[in-house]
This record gives sequence, C-alpha cells and structure tokens, in this order.
Amino acid sequence: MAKKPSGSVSATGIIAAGVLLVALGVWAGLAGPAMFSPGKLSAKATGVKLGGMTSHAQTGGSCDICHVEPWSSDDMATRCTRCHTDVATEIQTHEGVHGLLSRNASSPTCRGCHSEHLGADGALTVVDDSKFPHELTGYSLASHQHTIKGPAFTCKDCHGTDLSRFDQAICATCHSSIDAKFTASHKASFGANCLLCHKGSTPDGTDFDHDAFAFKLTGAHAGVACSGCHTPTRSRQALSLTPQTCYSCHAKDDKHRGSLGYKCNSCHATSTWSTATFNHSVLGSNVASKDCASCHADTDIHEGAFGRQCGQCHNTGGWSRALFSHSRLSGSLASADCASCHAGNDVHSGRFGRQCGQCHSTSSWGGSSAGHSAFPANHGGAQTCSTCHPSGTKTYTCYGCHEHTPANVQAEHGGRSVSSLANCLQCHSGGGGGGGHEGRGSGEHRGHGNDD
Amino acid sequence: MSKHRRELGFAGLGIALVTTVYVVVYKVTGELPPASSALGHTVGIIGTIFMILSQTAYSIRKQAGNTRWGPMVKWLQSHVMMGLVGPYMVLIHSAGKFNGLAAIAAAMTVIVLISGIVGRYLYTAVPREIEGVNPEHLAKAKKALATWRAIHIPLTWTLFTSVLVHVAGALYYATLQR
Repeated sequence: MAKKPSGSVSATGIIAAGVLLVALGVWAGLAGPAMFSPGKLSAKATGVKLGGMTSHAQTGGSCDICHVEPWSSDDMATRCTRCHTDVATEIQTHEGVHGLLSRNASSPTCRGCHSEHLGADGALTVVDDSKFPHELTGYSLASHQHTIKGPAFTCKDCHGTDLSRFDQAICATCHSSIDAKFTASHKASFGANCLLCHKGSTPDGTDFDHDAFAFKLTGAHAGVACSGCHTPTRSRQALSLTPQTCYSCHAKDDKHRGSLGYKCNSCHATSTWSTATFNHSVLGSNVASKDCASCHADTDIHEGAFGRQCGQCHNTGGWSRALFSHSRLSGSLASADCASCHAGNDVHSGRFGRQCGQCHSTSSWGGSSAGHSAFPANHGGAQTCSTCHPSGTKTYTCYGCHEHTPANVQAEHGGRSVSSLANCLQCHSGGGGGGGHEGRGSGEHRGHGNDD
Repeated sequence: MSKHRRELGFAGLGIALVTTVYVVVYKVTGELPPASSALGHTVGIIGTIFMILSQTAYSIRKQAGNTRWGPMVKWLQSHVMMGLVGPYMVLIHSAGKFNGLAAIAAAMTVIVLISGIVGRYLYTAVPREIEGVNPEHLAKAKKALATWRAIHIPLTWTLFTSVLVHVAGALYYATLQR
C-alpha cells in the first residue's frame, strides 16, 4: 500500500506555530497591547496639558485611555472628554463648534471627524467634506456646493486653517466679487451679520428662521410673503419696528368692529378666522351686564322675553346650566303669570290659577303659604281661590258660595244678624257642618275673618 | 492560454477585479481604503478565507485520495489560484501600512507566497512519466520537493498563527473596544 502524502499537518508546522505563539506572548508581555496598534499615535503637542498630557503619544501605549472595554458602559466619546474637558463643556452648553454639532441624535461622534494611529505627524482631524453634517452647525452648505469659478468648495475657502472658526467678513469678500454693488447695498441695509438671516439652505435667504424672533410665524402667517408685513422696509432697524399687534394688520378683517377688543388671538388662532373659540373673558369680569343678544339673538329660546342680558341667568359654560333669577320678573311676584313657565310643574292642574306666587315662594314649591292645613282647600268643591278669597288671600268669606248665602246662614243660626255671623272659622275651623260641638261656640262674630 | 496555465489566468482576473475596485475608490476618495474601513475589512476577510481554503482544501483532498472529488490537478489549480489572489487581497487590505503584529502577518504572507511559487515550479519539475527519465534526476527533484515541503509547511503554520492572533486582536480592539 502506497504511503499517502502528508498534507499540511506536520510536527514541524505545529512546532513553528507554537514557537510563534510563545514569541508573541513574550512580545505582549514586554510591549503590552501596542503590538496590535495599527499605527503610531500623534505626537503633535498643543502646549496645553489635557489629562496630564500634551499629546496622544504621551499615553505610552495604554489603549484603555481611549478605547473602551466591551463590558464598560462608557463609549469612546466619554473617554475623549475625560481629557478634552473644553469639548465636554461645549457639548453641555451647546456652544462652540462641538456644541453645535452635538445638538441632535444624528450628530457625529468624535471618531466621525477625528482620527488617530496615522503616525506621529498624522492629522488628528480628517473630515470628509461631502459627508460633514454642516447643517448641524446652524448653517447648511446646500447653497455653497461649488464656487463661482466652478470647483467644489473646500473647508479652507471659508474657514482658513482653523475649521472651528468662521469670520463672516469672508461672506462679503466673496460675494463682492460676484456683485459688488448689491453686496455693498445689502450690507449697508442689513449689516454684516449675514448668519442672522441666512442659513445656507437656499441661495436667496428664504430659509430665514423667523421663529428666532419674538413674533413666531405660525398658521397662516407662515405663508405670508415677507413684504406682506414688512412693506417697504429695507433695513434691519425698519424690520424690527414692524408693528406686531393683531390689529395693526387685521383691523380691516374685524367683523366685530372693535366691540370685542383688539386682541384677536384671544379667540382666533393664526390658522384661520373661521374656527374661533370665543373667550368670554374678553368681555371683562361682569359678563351679566353685557348685551349678549347682540351675538346670541338667534339662540334665545325665550324670544326676548327675559331681555338681552343672558348672563343674568346663564353662564358662559353652556345654555343648559341656567339659574333663573325671579328678580328679573317685572312687577310683584304674586301678580306674575308663573304658569307661562311653570305649567308643567302645577300639581293643582290649574285649579288655583296661573299666579303661583299667591301661595308659593321662589325658593321652592314646598312650604306653600296657603294655610289650609286645617281647612281643606277643596272645601265644597272650590275650584279657585277667589271663591273664598275674592279680595285676596289675607281675607276670606263663606258667602261666596251659593250654599252659604247670607239668608241661608242667618236661617241656620237662629236669625242672628248676618254681620255677626261673618267669621265662620271661629266656630267652623275645619269647614265642618252644624253637627257636634263645631259651630256651637260662643265666640263673637266679627264680620270678615282672618284665616292666618 | 495553455490548459495547464489556466489557474494563472483566473488568478490574474481576480487580482485585476480587486485592483479595479481599489482604483475606483481611490479616484473617488483620494485615498486607499484603510484596513479598518468596510471595504478594507471585506477584502482582508475574503483574502484570509482564500488563503485558508487554498491550504486546507488541497491538503484534505490529498489526504483523502478520493478520486470522486475530481482530479488532483484541478485542486492544485484552485490551490494556486486562491494562493495567489488571497495573499494579494490580504496585502491590499493593509493599504500600505505595516505596524505591529499586522506587519508580521503581512511579511509572512509575502514569504509564504514566494515559497508557494517556488514550490509550484519544483512540483512541475518532477517528471510524471517514468519512461525515459534519468533516475538520478528524478531522485533529485523529489528530494528538492521534500525539502521545500519541510520549509513551506512550518512557514504556513506560522503565517496562519500570526493571522489568527491579528484577527483576534482586531476583533477585540477595533470591533469590541470602540
């Protein structure tokens, strides 16, 4: 049988691998993890000590000063800012270039712009111009992709050698070469702080962020051209003096003709006039005294019977929660036609007429003052109070009934004079007839009695 | 192209393809993709897999001796093709930067590559037909090939050991320790 080829597995191969592993172990013991370093760290000294060092090279190969162990809750940015405390301050205060760049979730990490292991003289900031999120600084490069001569802009075109600085004088310098007359005029009108209005996303400055000022452009205001409010202003000072009250622009739109004041935004939103939410507070504290009918005439179910000041009974929370004040009734309560409102509440089914106030008070239906606790109100089938009380409820007479004619009464009482028999209740307090002791009393008959 | 040189043609094609990708990226970005970039890592990983396959697949075929897996010459051609393209990809992965252990792994790659090329020509120098061959010449060729194998295999082990440690270090420091 022929011997098979030995292949790649051989004792010498395994020994060679073992020797190399031992050598690498010795190397790691002597030099530490630097054996895995992809390149030397920067030795560029800033002259300022950060974390006790003036350059990254001074870390001496201690990887964990910058690199984060997999089990640590830190990230590399945390390690960076341990030494670069000035950057940490910028990020916390949102100031400076790092503060601007760290304003939202899509912000680049430190590694996004800064590199290392590129050698002792290697660049520490390597920014990909095309990928740098310049808009996070508050200024987009959308309108500065190419110079007027054609080539793409480079960072140095605007920033010079220090990318963290920007002198706005470069704006005027460059734009003067494009249109010197316009640039001079524009600068004279609006000043040299170009970034106050221009954010770079559009070439003509229409990306101006009006919300940076007190008057926010919300709703329909957002769609109004600058000249809709700022006519014919041509300077920053004139722009700042533009009136900001509603009425300064909308007086012509006021259908209330000033009757509801001049703060339109008390009821109206900026989106549209038609969906106003009326705020009665514009009427002042005393709503009850206002002429509600000037707005609510169409909704008055009383058809004007209770006047125009709805607030006397209703509140602004809703029509249904009214509290009727009887003081609104003209004349005496007793003479009022209560049934015009209370017909549905009349448990007497109209027997006692329409003037409930003759017996009842306005506080409740109970507690009637009719005083018929002993004498039945339906005595003899009486239908109306006036049968017994022709001159009001303070007095009564029994002679109003056909049975109690003066002649009949006189005959019943043995021929006494009619006038001496007028106070029937003295003997007939319960309205009973002649039987028993009732009606046998010896009291003096004094004419018309008092049933109180 | 000679039938027996077909592996060199495939190797040339693979090398040209990788080179084209890198030239395009260089033209666009102005720099070679760093070893730690997505493209750099991809090329490095594929190159390493080629190198491992080049070594192991051929050896397994030789050990198995199973002719149903195809003739040895095909496996040898694959071994040569991947043995050329793999190291090329590993070297281009380095983007010209050689530091620390990565530099040792790159150096070993070059050494094993050269050794492999030498071995390939020693292998073809051994006559396959016994008739008319000078026995002394045959013995010399076989001895040379055995000597080469005694050197090449330890070099290969050394290469893969250094690559293994380099990959482990890269995974830990450049991937886990961000």
